[in-house]
Amino acid sequence: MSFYYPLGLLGLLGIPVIVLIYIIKSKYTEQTVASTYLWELSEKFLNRRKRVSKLTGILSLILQILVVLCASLLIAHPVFTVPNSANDIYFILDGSASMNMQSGNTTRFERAQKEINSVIDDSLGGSTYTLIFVNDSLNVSFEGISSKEQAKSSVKSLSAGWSAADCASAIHFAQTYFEANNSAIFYLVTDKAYDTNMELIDVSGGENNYALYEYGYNYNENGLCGTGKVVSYKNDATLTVDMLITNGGAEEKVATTSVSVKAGEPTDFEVQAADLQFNSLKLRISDGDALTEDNEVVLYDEAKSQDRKVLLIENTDDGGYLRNSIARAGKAEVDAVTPKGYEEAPRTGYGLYVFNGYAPAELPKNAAIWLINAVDGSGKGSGVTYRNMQTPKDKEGPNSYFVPQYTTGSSLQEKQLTQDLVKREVAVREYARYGLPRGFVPVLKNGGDSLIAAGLNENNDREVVFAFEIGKSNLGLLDDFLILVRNLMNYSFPSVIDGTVFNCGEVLNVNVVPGCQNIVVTSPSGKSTTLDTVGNSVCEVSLAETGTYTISVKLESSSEETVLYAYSCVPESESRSEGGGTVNLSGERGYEYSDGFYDKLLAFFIIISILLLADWGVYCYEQYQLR
Amino acid sequence: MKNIAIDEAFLQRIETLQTVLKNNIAGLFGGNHKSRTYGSSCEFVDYRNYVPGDDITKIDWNAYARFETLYLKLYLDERQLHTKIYIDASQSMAFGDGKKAEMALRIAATLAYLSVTELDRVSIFVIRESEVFEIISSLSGRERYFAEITKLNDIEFKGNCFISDGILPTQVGYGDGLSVIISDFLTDSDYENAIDYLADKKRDLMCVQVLTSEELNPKVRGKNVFFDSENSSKSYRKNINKDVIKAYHKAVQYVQDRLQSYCNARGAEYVLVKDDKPIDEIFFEQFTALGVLK
Repeated sequence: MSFYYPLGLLGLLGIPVIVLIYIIKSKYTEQTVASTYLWELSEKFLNRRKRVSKLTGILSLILQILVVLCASLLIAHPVFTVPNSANDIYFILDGSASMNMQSGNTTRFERAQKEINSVIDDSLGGSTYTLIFVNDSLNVSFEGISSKEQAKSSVKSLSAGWSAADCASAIHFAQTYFEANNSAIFYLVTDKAYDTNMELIDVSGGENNYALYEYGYNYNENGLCGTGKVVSYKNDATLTVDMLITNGGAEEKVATTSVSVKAGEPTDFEVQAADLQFNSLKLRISDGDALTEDNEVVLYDEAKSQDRKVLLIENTDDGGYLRNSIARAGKAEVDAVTPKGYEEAPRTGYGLYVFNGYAPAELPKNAAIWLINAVDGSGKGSGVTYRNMQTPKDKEGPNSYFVPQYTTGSSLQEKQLTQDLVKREVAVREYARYGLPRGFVPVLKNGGDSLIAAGLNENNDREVVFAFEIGKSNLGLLDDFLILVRNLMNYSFPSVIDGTVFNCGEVLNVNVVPGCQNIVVTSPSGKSTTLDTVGNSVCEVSLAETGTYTISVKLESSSEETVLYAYSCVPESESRSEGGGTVNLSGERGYEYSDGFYDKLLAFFIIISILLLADWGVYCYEQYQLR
Repeated sequence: MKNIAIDEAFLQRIETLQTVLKNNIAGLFGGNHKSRTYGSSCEFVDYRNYVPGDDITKIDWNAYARFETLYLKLYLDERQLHTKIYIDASQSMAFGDGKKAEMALRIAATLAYLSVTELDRVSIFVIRESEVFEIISSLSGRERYFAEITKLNDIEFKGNCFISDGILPTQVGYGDGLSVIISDFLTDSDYENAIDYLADKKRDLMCVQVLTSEELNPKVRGKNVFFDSENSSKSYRKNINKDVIKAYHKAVQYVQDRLQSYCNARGAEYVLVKDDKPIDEIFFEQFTALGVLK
C-alpha cells in the first residue's frame, strides 16, 4: 500500500491528543449531596441500556480515534498496489447499423457502451484503454489512456452509424497492437456472432427485425405497382406494406397490402395503385420492429431527371442511321440540320451537338460535342489539331484496312466509356491522325493513334472525337456500335448521380455536369456540403446516414436549381445482423502485466467517516444535552 | 446553625388560624379544644332528666318552673391537648446552606406558637440516629414560648436519622393531640412504623416533607460521583444525562406519592414544603388547603 499524499498521515498525531483529552475529561466530578437515596432510586426508573452505557465512555474515545484515523487516511489517499495485475485493454467496438436495434429503451450500442464501461470500472488502476471504433470507417477513438473517467466519457460520446462495419479490417488493425503487446486484452464488442480468440462481448438481444429488399416499381395494365421482398428475421409474421407517393404535394398513401412471411424467408410482395405519376415513391413496412430505418425505402423517378436533346449536323445521306442510333441507344430526342443550315442559323439549347463530316468555325459552348471525321476543320475550341491522314499500305487484302483496339485502361472514365462492349474486331479503311488536348482518354486506338477519344475541350465541355468516317469502317455494323453510342451518350449527358437508391456506407459519385456552377449535397440530418467542382468531373460523397440525400445542382445557364434525390438505406447485411465469421489475432498470448492499484477504499473511508461523525454527534448530543 | 428569626407580625397573623383535630378524645381539662363529650364549658349543648345523684347546681330551674320536671343543662367539654413536634436532625437536613433545616425549624416554631395560642401544650423533639431528644417540654403560655423557643437554635443537624427507631420507644400519649414529623423522608420505609404507631395512639398526625429546589430539580449534568452527606461510604457514580434526570424526577415523584398514600391510608396528612417557599404561604395556603388549619 502506498499513499498519494503521505503528509496526510500527520493527522494521526491527533490520536494521542484525543487520548490525552479523554483521560483529562473522563474524570468524574466528586460532590456531596444531602442524600444519594433519590439518585439510587432513580436507577429503578432508568431505561436499561447498561451494556451500551458501560461502553459509552470508551466508545466515545474509539469513535474519535476512528474519525481522526479515517480523516488522515482520506487526506493521505491510500492506494493499494496489486502486483502484475494492470492490463492494457483494447476494445474493438462495432458501430454498424445493426447496433441501432432497440430492445426496450436501450439499443445494442448503448448496451455495448455499458459493457465497456463495466470492463473499465472493473479493471485496476494503472490499466490503459484503447478503443477502435468501426462503422463506415475505422477510427481509434482513444489510445493508451489510463483515466477511467476520460475513457468512459469518450465511449459515451460515440454513436453507431448506419452502414455496415468491417470488423475484419479492425481486427487486422488490432493485430499491430497485439504484436506490440501480446499481453494486452482485446475485447470485440459486437452484435454479430464472431468466432474469435478475443474476449467477445455479444450485445445482440435476439430482437425481431423486418426489412425490405429488391424493391422497385413498374407500370402495368392496372397502373403503378410497387414490388419487392419483405423478410422477418426472427418470427413468422403478417406484415403490412404501404405505398406512399409525393407528386408536388404532401405524402399520400396510395396503396397497401398484407404479406405473410415465414421467419428468415424473403417473400415477394406487390402493392398495386392506380396509374399515378410521382416524384417520390415510398414503400414502407408499417409494423414496428427493432430497427425501423430498414422498414422503408424511397424511390425517385429517374426519367424525370434526364432530358437529352441532340442536334445532328451532317451532310451525309445514310438514311438516318446515326440519328436513329443516337435516338435509340442514347434515349435522346435528335434534331438534324445540314451544315449550311447550321451556319445560317446556329441553334442553341441542345445538350449535344454532333458534327458529322463537318466542323463549324467555332464550337458551341456549354454543351457536349461529337466531332466525327472532321478532318482538318475541327472548329475553334475543340483543342484538336489535324496532322495527317493514315491509309493502309495495300489496296486489298488483310493489310488494306486498320484494326484498331479498344482501350483496356482502368481509369473510371475509360471503364465508363467501354462498359458492356463485346469488343468485336473493328476494321477502318483510313483515319486522321490528330493532336488531342491533354486529358483525352482513348476509346479505340491504333497503336499510338486515337481513333475514338473523349475528354474536355478548350471550352471545358465534354467532347468525343471520331478520327474516321463511320461509313468507312465496319463499326456501324457491329452490335458494339449501339453500346458504344450509349456509353458515349452517357458520357456526353452525364447524370448527376448514377441511380437513386444506395446502401448506407457506399460512396455516391456526383458527376460534375457541363456548365455546373456548384453542387450542394444535403444529408438526411440536414447537414449541407458544397462539393468542390473545380477541375473535377466526379465528386465523391460518403453516405453515412440513412434517408434521403438531396443534391442541388446550380447551372450557369439557368437561374433555377436542379434538385435530385438519392436514398441511402440500411445495408441488407445489417438488417439481417447475422454471422460474423472467424476473426482471430495471430500470435501467442503473453501474460506480463504491470502493477495495478486499487483506490476504491477511498469511497469506503468517506462513508465510514460520515457514519462515525454522525454517530459522534448523536453521542455528544445525548451526553452533553446540547439541546 | 443559622438562628431562626421570630417574625412577631407573622405570629400575630397566625393567631387567626386554628388547628383542626380529629382525635381529641383525651387531654387535660381546661384547654381550648372542644371535645365530643359533655363537660363544663360555657357552650350549652342539651338537656336531660335529672337523676338522683346529679349535681343539683346544673338543674335548670326555669325549665322546672315551666314544666315541673327537673332537667339538667348539658355543656360541651373542652380539652387541653398536647402537640408533639418531631424534627429530623440528620445531616441531610442541614446540607448545603441549611435552608432545609431552617425551614423545618420555622415550621416547628410556628406550629408550636399556634398550639400555645390555643392553650395547648407543646413538646418539640429532635430525632438523631435512633433516639428522640426532647428540646422543649410541655410548653404552654406565650411568655414561656418566647422564653424557650430559642432553644431550637441550638439544635445540631448531624449524623443519621431513623424516625421509627426513634419514635417507637417513646410515650406519645393517646388521643390527646397533634403529632408533626418534619423531615426530608429520604429513606426507603423508615417512617412507616412511626406513622402506624402514632395512628394507633389516636393522635392526629401530619408529615411535613421538606425538600430543596436542587433536590426536586437538580441542575447537575455530566460525569459525577455523589457522596451521601450522612454516610460518606455511600456514593453514587453516574454520567448524568437527560435520561438519568428523567429517572430522577420519577424517583422524586415516587417518594412523594408513597409517603402521601401511606399517610392518607392511616388518616394522616402529608405536606411537601420547598425550602424556598415563604412561610406564610405554607401556613395560609398549603396547610389551610389541606384542612389541617382553618
